[in-house]
Amino acid sequence: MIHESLSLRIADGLTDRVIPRRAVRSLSWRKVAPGGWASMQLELNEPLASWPTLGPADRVYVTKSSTGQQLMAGYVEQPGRNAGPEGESWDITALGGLSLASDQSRAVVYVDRELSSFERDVLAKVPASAGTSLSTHPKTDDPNGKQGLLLQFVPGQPIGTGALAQMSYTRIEDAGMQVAAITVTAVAGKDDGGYRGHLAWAPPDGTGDIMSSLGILTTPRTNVRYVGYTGSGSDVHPPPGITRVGFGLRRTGGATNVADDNTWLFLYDIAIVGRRMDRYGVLDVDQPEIGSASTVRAHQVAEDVFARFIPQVDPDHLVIVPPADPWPIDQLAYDSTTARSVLDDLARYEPGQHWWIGELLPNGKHRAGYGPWRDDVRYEITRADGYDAPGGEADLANRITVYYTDDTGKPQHETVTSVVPDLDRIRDAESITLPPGVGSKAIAQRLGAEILATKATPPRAATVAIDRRIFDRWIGSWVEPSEIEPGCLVRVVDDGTVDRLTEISYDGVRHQTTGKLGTPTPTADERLARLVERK
Amino acid sequence: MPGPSVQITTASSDDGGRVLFDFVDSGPGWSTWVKRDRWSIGVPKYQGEPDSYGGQWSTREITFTLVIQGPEQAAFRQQAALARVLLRHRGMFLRYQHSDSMPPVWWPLLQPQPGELDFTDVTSDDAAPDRWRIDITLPADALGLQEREWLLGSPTEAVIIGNDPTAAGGVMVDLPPLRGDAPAPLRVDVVPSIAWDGYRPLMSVAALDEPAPVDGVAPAGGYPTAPILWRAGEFAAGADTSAATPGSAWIGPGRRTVSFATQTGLVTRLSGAVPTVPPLGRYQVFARVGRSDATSGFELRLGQRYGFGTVLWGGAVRHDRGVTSGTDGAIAWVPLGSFTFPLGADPQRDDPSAVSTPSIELQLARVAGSGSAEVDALILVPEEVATTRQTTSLGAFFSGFGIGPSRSGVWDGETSTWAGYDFGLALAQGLAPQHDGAYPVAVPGCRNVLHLLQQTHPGRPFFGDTPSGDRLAATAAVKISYQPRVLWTGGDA
Repeated sequence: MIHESLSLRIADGLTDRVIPRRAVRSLSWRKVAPGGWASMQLELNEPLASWPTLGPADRVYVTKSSTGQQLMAGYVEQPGRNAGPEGESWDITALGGLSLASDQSRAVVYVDRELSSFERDVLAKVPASAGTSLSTHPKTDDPNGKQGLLLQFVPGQPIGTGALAQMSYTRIEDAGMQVAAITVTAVAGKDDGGYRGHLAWAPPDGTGDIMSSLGILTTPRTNVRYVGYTGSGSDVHPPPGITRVGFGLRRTGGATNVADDNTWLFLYDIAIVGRRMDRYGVLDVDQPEIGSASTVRAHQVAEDVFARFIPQVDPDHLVIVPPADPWPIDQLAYDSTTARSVLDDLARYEPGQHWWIGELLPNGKHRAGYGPWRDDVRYEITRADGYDAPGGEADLANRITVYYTDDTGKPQHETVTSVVPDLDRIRDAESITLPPGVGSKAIAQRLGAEILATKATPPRAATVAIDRRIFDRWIGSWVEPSEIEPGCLVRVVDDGTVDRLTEISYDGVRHQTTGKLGTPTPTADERLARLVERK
Repeated sequence: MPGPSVQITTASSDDGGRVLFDFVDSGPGWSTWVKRDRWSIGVPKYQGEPDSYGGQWSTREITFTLVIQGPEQAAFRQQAALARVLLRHRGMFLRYQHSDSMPPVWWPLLQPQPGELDFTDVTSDDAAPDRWRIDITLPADALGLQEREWLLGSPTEAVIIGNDPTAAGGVMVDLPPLRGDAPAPLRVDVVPSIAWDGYRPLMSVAALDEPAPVDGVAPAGGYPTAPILWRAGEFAAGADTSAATPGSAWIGPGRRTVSFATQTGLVTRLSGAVPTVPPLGRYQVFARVGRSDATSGFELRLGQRYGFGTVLWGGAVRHDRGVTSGTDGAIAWVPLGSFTFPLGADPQRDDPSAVSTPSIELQLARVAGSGSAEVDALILVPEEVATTRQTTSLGAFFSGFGIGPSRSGVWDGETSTWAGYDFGLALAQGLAPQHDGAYPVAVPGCRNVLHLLQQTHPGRPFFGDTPSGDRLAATAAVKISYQPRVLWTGGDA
């Protein structure tokens, strides 16, 4: 029988019943931060005929008897029906809102700088002799040996008016998304009014935006375009709805034989931003909504993730709180991913933020959010609350080197340092090498900082078991163990230790909450393993 | 003198149900009785440690020896009748009546355990009649039940509970004293005066360890006899907030209008010391909110001020009724969450006799449309005060068709089930509402206070154009009954 402060309700579409307490043999749930309401287990002594159709579409709710406040809710997994000498019973596992974040897997492109997503366009206007390749600057080491697209008409070959050398970016189209913004820098082998650099959008027929009306230039020029742009300026911006873009070198003068080997256009610092949704599923359009044309911010991505991957989140009850100083993310694209893995990846850029999916509202949708960890203590406990903090190895460090391979294939490294009061000298953490294909300066810096943060203080993790009412400073009330939520700070009053409660498990028969304080630190290998997935 | 009557029945009432087996019975040449010296009604055991909180009671075991005396045929017939009952599963009660002048008690039976058939006194000797003895073990619920009692109204007459918290008998009712030894689930039969399509009525029963009010006057230091209501007009007005203006849809002296003319965001619209200091405790707080048009939506939250103007905020809640016809259609008691007054107090330990006056702030933002928000009052439904023994609260959301003047709803705490009846007679076609919380339970020896708020759903109604707002003039005809729970045999008939 479950504790008297709990009330269990099962809704299977045919019936919607509050289950008598004594029919519930056991009940427990787990909530995590980041993530929210994870899962629930229960055993019922009820006839198997009670819910003939109980299955994944059906819901289980636990509420507080004295107020009806929802404590846990979940979707029933294929329930275990037991019948035997001991009678009929149910074994039910229900998954909380968190499980919705792993339901759908798809490709998604928020910002992409990978040149491997470009391919040569095969069009009548692209002569076989036109050169299209991934290359560094053909003449100098500028700009810093960066890799880019090289479009060229080779000497001695005849080209007609309108002839093209063109490459298209297709990854966003493959992901079923649209392009929001483009940033590209172009430089040519010579100044020549007989050629133009241009941006083309579907269909890639060689028409589109001229990047410079002066023809091609040896002076680098950065071009920024937003879909649906309505501001002033002479640049032509693409209309909403485009799914692919091409970069081309076009002959605008008369037919000619290419005379020199300077007839090329080199395009670098290319960033393609995918078109995001707001919480209601409305696509961003124009500069103010799209924001940067070369980076994205974690909170913008989070809003899109909730809208795109998890329609069960109620947009009216979705809370998005941006960090104070959002980090510009310069590479975030997946060939296949889930909401959960994107949201977890965002923690790498914004370790001060977390996400959650919680309460199931009367309209069948969930409360959810993405926002900062609060830094004021919520619960106060004492050592008497089954406090257990196993010791750990102190492995302090204040400097780390992260090796990576940049998009030109050139090895790079980034050294990150931090201040550790307990260390009076430089002490290096073991260096990290990022696998090929995932490296960027931003990722290297973030990973380095993240690892150093865990090495600034000795690791600390503890468990607590709370079976009494404790004080909740966020709401100013004494709360039952069943009301405890993870994701907040807990102070052990005996010694003033403050730790984050990252996971709780509640047992409804013993009316006890077991909590994990602090996060067990993932090893560098674990961090790497997650980076190996192609971003 | 006739001895006690011991029977197995199909119902815990003498109305309806039938007797499956009578342990004290007789016929031509045969009789059955229960051996007095072996009779035990058992006793439930507390399963937790003696000092644990909220532990549970075990089931009990009723054991006795049945004697069947008589010729073979009659005895075998009785044995077969008994065997059929003992092998039956659930849905049975042991009815025990000590004497005709005492009320019967029913113990809800769990799976019975048949005992051995004892042949010791079966001699087939004509001189001494044959006696078969059977040991019976009947596991039963911890507590016995007595015949249904009417707590509010009667089988034929209901008590009207109004929906205006300022009128006598509106929203809050003190239930009469209960009989029995232990908390009893209530059966609540409700016929609202308007259709509750899209409504979420909330009924809460707070069992308080304090004397019942005398002539409508609460005992000293006790819970008030009227709902704790804070009128919007009693607070200081914040940004874009008008003075209170009366209207028939609004709790007197009227609602304050928040025009959002200069600020649409979440800023303070009402603030100040509360006009009535509630007894120390934790409460569910609701704000009664409507709007000037048929489309606007709002977000609101309640905060409590403490030390140096710091405010501790509750969660933000939406009042978003979608498009509903008529401005009254939007009025709902918006649940603002659970708050302790005074902030941080512990109802189980702190001295409730002297508390300072809490100070609150109510913030509103407009999140949709261009209309004004209208707020007339906040109400407190007690969750835990110093004298609280137990509180049960049930929200029942009728997302589509609900009950109404010609359809009653019956919430039966005994079985945790809901049923709708057309004209109170025929079982209705209809889906049960979505329930949050527990079916109401009242505690004997306590003062049981019932709150009934009619519309606590601030979200979109299923039928957009149904005027499903909270209406002051609406009423609910309520009948409440229960079966007293007894530990031994009951008695205070």
